[in-house]
Amino acid sequence: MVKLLLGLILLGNGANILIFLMGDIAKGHPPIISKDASIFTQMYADPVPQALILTAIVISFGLQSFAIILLKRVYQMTKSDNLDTLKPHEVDI
Amino acid sequence: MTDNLLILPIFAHLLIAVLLIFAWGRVNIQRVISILGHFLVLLVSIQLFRKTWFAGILTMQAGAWKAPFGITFVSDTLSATFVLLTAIAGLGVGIFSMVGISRSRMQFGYFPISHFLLMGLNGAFLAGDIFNLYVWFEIVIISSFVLMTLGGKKPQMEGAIKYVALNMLASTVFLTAIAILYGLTGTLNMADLSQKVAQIEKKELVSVTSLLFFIGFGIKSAVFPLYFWLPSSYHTPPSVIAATFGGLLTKMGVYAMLRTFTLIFIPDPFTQNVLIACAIMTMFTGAMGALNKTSIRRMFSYLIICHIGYLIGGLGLHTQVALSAVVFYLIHDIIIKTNIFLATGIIHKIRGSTDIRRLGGFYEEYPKLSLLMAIIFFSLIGVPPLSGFWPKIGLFQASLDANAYVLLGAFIMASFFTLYIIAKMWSEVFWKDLPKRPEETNEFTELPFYKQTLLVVPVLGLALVSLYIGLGAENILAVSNRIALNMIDTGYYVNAVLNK
Repeated sequence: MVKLLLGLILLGNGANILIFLMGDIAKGHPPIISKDASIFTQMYADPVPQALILTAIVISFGLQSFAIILLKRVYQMTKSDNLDTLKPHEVDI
Repeated sequence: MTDNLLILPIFAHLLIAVLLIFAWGRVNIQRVISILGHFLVLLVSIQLFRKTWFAGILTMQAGAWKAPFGITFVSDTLSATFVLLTAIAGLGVGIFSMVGISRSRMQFGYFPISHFLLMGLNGAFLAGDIFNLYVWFEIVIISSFVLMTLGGKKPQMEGAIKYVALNMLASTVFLTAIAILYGLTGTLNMADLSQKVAQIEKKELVSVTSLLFFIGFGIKSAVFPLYFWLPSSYHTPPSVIAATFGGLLTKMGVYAMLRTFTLIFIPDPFTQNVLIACAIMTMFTGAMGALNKTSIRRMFSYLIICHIGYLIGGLGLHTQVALSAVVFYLIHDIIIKTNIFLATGIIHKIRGSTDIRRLGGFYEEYPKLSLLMAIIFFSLIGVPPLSGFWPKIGLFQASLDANAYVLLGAFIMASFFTLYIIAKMWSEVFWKDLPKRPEETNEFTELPFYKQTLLVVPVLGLALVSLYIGLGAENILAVSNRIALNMIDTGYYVNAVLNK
């Protein structure tokens, strides 16, 4: 189960970094239009990916903390951290 | 047309959920607030549908930021129909859950979480921005995680692991696809994406990205070969929660697929073939899975998968007739799938089991209730003139028009197996003599009359809605035809959002 968790966390972070790379990276060019111009005249850093990553990090943090608690509960109940031993139950609740 | 009131269905659920949190643990107050809330949302949704129907399309730009830059909410006929269906199914589930869910689950926040879930669904249907759609998806899945594990029984937790892991994977794939799409186009607004994606020269990149979206949404909507989490988790939570999940959650995935594959990515022949192949396998495996199950909840879980195949197949054909039939089928399916799980909840209350080996004699003891359930199951099978019949005719016709005979065969086979599975279930549960069982618990007859009514009324109400969908098919067809027309002609949506 720990491996499952590590995998999910790595995947989430990988996706975040991908967003970061997909926005054009331009060092030292803040997205501010200079006083004497009305439009951008040169390359600028795209501010949108920051907002996207921030949202995505918060969301994946929430999901991952839920998953950690869930896996811990399952471990306490089944006394095993092997996913293969979990059997589908034909029971009713 | 700009209309800032279109977020009311989202906002109303948020307000109710917050109010419910203030009444944490006080179950009776929560019951009243929740049920009033469901009625309020239904009224708001009807109003939204009425306005959208007359205006054609409504938009709202958050913070008055102009379209491609800010977050846009759009209510076209498709969105408004889904919001209305969610409100109807939500009201049915809400009434049923007054009695159908244990007190301890209510004390641990069943009501607020279920309203958060419905808020997320409404948000996803009204979002006009692909990243915003992702955020609403996350709200829905985190709420569904809590509902899935609420109560903390062992099988529930074990089912939840698969559910949580696969859904987190789906979200990550969805996010990856958004990242690549943003890298390609530099925009997130769906109307703007529709225009910019059409201009991209490297069509291969677009195809790959669109298939990433297909994988992300495919996991959520349980498409072959990504459906394994569904049958191993949907039978574990209480019937009410399974009804919400079965009726609405998988359909949200299909909605997202409909949106992306008609507005943003117009499927090329290759993508169409992928969709159709997946649809055929989904129908086949769903039907085969349902055949050997002994618990009716598990049978119905596989039937959900089987019927998702219809929707994906229709989307793969991508003609106006097919899309219209897909939308009609979705309208029918949301109501009917919610209802069969609620009906299962009543059977479980009466017999204390959902295993067909321990069920029987239902028709003898409860003839009226059995007749009501017969209407539901007949609609599910699609006996003319009930609601499942009309969209299937459309799908058959569309696959004949496109010379897709294998798909046509799969549609017919899936209909036949649905008939066989329901007939088998009917003879086991309703006609067979009740087998000798050690314990005789009948929670249903021990309940006071008003509580029994609360359990039967939502099933009756949703059955009446199904009857209306079947008998008033020309009205539903008018709605679905208009949606399909707007799906084929994307310019209408794009122009309305970008204010051209």
